Amino acid sequence: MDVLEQAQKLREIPLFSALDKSQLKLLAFTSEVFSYDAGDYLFYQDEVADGIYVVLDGNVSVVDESTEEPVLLARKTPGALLGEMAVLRKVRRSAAVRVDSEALVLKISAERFIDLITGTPEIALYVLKDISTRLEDASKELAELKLRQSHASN
Amino acid sequence: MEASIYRYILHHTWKDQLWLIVLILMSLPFVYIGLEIPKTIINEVLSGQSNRFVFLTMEFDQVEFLLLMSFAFLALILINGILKYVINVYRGALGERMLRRFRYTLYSRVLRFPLPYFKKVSAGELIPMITSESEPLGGFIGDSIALPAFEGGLLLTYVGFIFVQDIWLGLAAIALYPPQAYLIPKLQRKINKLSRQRVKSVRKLAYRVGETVSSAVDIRANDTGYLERADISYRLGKIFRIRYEIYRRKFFIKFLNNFLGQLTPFFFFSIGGYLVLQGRLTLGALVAVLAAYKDIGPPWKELLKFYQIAEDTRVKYAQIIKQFEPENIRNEELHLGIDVTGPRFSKSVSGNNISLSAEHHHSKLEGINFNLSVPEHTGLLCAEGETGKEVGLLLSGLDPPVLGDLRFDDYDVKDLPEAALGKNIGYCSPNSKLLNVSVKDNLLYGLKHRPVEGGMALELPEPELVEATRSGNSIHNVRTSWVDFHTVGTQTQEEFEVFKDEVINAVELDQDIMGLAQRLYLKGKSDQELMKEIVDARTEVRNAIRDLDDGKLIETFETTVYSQNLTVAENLLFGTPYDLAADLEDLAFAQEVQDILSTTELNKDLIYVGLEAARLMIELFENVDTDSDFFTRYSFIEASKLSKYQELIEKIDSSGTQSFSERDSKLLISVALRISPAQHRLSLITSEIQGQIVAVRKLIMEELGYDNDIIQFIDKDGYQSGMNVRANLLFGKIAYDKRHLQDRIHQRLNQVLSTLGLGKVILNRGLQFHCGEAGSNLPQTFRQKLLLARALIKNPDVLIIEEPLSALNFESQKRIFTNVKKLRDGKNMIWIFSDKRFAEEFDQVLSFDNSVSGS
Repeated sequence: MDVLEQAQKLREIPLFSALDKSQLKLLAFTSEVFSYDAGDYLFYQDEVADGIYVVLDGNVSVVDESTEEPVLLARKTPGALLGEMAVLRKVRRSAAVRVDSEALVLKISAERFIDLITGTPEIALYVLKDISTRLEDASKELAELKLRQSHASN
Repeated sequence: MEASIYRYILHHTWKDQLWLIVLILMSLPFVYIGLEIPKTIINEVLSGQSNRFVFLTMEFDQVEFLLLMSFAFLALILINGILKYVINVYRGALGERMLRRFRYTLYSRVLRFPLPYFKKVSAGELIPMITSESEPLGGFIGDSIALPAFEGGLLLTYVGFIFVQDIWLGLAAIALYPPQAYLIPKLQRKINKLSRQRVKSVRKLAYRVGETVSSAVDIRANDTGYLERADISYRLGKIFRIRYEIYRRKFFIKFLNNFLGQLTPFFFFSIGGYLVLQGRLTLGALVAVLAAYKDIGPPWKELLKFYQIAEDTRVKYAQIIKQFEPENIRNEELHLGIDVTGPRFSKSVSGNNISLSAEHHHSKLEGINFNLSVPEHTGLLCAEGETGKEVGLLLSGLDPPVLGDLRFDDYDVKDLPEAALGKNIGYCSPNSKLLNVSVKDNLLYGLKHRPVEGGMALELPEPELVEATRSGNSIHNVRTSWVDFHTVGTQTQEEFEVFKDEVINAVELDQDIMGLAQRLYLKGKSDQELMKEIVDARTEVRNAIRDLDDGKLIETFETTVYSQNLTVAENLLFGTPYDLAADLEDLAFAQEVQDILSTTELNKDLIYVGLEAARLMIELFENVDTDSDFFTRYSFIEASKLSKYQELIEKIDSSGTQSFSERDSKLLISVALRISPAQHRLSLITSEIQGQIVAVRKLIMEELGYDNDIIQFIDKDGYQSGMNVRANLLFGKIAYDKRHLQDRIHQRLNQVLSTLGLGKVILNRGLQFHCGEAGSNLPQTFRQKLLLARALIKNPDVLIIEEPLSALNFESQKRIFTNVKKLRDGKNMIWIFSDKRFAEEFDQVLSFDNSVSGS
C-alpha cells in the first residue's frame, strides 16, 4: 500500500474528513506504517503514550490487562482510531491493544496529532463531540448499573 | 577565611614576601649608583677641571675615565634589568600560586556548604566568583608587598638623592605629598562604595543570564523576550552608571595627582635656579636633580595606581568571601575526615524528637521519633511533593536536623565525618545527577574516595607535587585508579566484577548498556579483535533473528539485490564513506559515478523520479510554515529550496526538458537519491529502475575498486567502519514496517552475543559510552537505573532510595524493586515512594504526609 492509498484510507475516517486531499497526503507521508502479526501488541497498558494509531487493515482488540484475567473491552476493525485519549491527556495507556489477525497500522506521533487538533478547528470539534458522546455513554452505563444495583439490593 | 586580604596574603606568603623585599633592597643601591654616575660624568669628567682621575687606587686620564664611567653605567643598566626580571617573575609566580590557593579554597568551601545554602546561591553567581572575579586577585597578591616596596624604595632613593644634593630641593620635591595623602583616600572611599555596588550588580547580571539560559524554552513559549531584554538593558544601564561614576572619580584623582606633580618643577626652576646663580649649587647637581625628579614620576604614579587597585581588590575580596562563609558550613575536619573507612552501622537508624526547620523546608515535620532496624527493609510512603525529598536528605544525614537527634547506631550524625556518611550510607533520589563522564565512571563514582594502591603513584609526580603543595592544593593523583573494591566488601578484582554484574543485572541495565555499545563506531586498532569477532558472529545473528519472524524483520545486505529499506543513494553506492562526516549523496555526484549514470542512461530515470517526487513535495509542503521542523524531518527538499524547485517544475511543464541544464538535472537527481521505498512508500522506484540501479552498482564497484579510499563497499566478510556495531552485527536494516519490534530484535541480538561469549566484551565497551552533560546522551530510564546502580554498588550499611525509577512503568519498577530487594537481602534498605501500590511489597511501611508530628 503506497502513501497515496494510505491517504485514501485516512479519508474514510470521520475524524479526518475535514482535511483536504493534500493535507491527507501530508498526514500519511509524515506518519509511520507498521505491519503486525497476530498476537503482537500495538501498545501495552501503563505505557507512555507517544502516538495514536489508525488500523488500515486487519483486526485488533482493546484489552484491560490490569486484572488477573484480561477483560476484552472492544474489537476494532479497519478505519478505527486508537489511543487518542492518552495522548490528549498526556497519561499512560489505560488499556492494551492486541492484534487479532495480521494488521497494517498507521501511527501518527503525539506531537503531530496535537498539531493537527490545534491547527484544524474541525478536528478539534470532532474530538470534542467524540468525548461528549463517550461521556454520555459512560453516564448511561453508570445509571443502568446503579439501577441494577438498587434492584438487586431490594 | 581571613577577613582581610592582607591578612590572607601574609598568612600564606610572608616568607616569599620577605624574600622579595630582600631582592628589592638589593636592587636599590644599584639604582642610586645609576643616578650618581651621570652626575660624575657631567660634573667631573666633562667639566674639564681635571685630567687625572683616581678610581679604586688606579689612575685614569679623561677619556679613559669617561669610558670607564660609561661602561659602568651600561653594567648598571644590565644589573638593574636582570634584578627587575627576577623580581617580576618571582612576583608573578607568587601571585599565580596564591590565586590557585584562593580558588581551591573557595571550591573546597563549596563542597562544605550546608545543603539548604544551595537554595540561596546560584551557580550563575558562584562560577564567576571562582573564575573571573578572583582573577585580578592573583595579580594583586604578587604585587601586594613587592610593588609598594619596590616603587616606594625607588621613590625614597630618588628623593634621598635629591636631599643629598640640596635639602631645599628635597623639601620642594615632597612638598605636595601631604595634601595628596589627605585628599586621595577621601576620594577613594567613594570609589570603593561604587566598586561594591558594581560587584553586586555584575553578579546579578550573571545570575539573570544563567536564568535566561535555563529558561530559554519558557521565554520563547511566553514571548517574553522583550521583557527579558528590557530587564537586561536596565541592569546593563545600572552597571554603566556605576562604572561611569567610578571613571569620573578615578580620573579626577589622576588629574589632581598630575597637576600637583607638575607644580614641583616650578620649585626646582625657581629655587634650584636661584641656588645655582648664587653658586650654592652646581649646575650638574641641578641637572641630576631634574633627572631624578623625572624618574620620581613613574614610581609615584605606580604607587597611586597600586593604591587604587589595592582598594578595589580589598573590596572584591571581602565581597567574594562573604558568599563562601555561610552559617553552619560543614566542619573541615568532619568534611575531610582522617579515618578513611569510618564507623560501620549495623543496628539502627533512629530519630529522636526531630523537626525540620520551617525556614529551609516545605514539609512540616515536628517532634518525630522513629527507630528503624538496620538489617530490615522499610518502605516510607510520602505524599507527593517535597516531603519524600526532605525526608530522604534527612535520613541520609546529608541535611542533618537542626532540632532533635539523628543517630546511626549510637553515633550522632552531626559528629560523623563525611567519609563515614559517604562510604557507609547510600543515597539516590530523582535529584541525583550523573556527571559528564563515561557510564562506568558514573557507576563507580561512589567508590572513588581516595586513590588506591596498585595503579600509578597515589600522589602527583614531582614537579606538580611541589607546586600543589606550595599552593595548598590537593596532592592526590587524579589520573590513577580511585576505585576501592574493598569498601564494597569484595576481596579481589574478580569478586568485585561479579558483584558489579549483579548490580547491573538487578537494575536491568545490562541490555541497555549492550545497546549503547552497539551504537558505537569502531575504528581504532584496539578494537580490531572485536571487529573480527563481530564479522564472525554475523551468521549466528542472522539465523537467530530469522527464527523470530521468518526473515521479515531484517533486510540483509546483498550485493546483487536492491534493498527496499535503503535510499537510492545507498543502493547505488552500496557502501559507507570512510570519512564519517562525508555525505553519501555528495559522493554520488563524483565525476566517475556521474559518467556511469550517463552511459547507462540511469540518470534519465533518476531525473524522472526526482521530478515526480519534487512535484509531490511541493504539493505537500507548500503551505507548511518554513520554520517548521517538518521540512528537516520529512521533506526531500529543504524549505529554502522549495521555490527553486517550483520554478524548475514550471519551466519543465511549459517547455519540456529541452532547455535542461546540468544544474537542473543535479537538483532533481538529488531528490531521487533520498527516496527509500520502504520508508517513504512512494511507488516511484519501479522494479525496472531497481534492477538498473543494482546493475550500475556493480559497474561503480568495478570502476572505483574495493581498495579505493573514499567508499568502503559493503562486504559480508569485512567490518564496515561507517556503520555502528549493531548494523555490523545485523548486517542489514531493520525493516521500516517492523521497527516497533526493534526491542525484541535487540534482545535477541544480546542473547546471541552472550551465547557466543561476546556479551561481556560488548558490555564493557558500552560502559565506556560518554553520558553527556547530566547524562543528556542517555534516555531518562537509563539515567534513573544508572543512578540506582551507583547507590547499590557501594553496598552501603544503610541505603536510602527515593522514587528512583519514576520514568519506568509500574511493572518494570516492581520487577527491578524485587531484584534490588534480593540483592539487599539481609542488609538495610529504606525505600521512599509515593505510589501506594508499592506499600504491599514491604514488611513495614511508615507513612509521612507533609505535616506529621509524633512517633
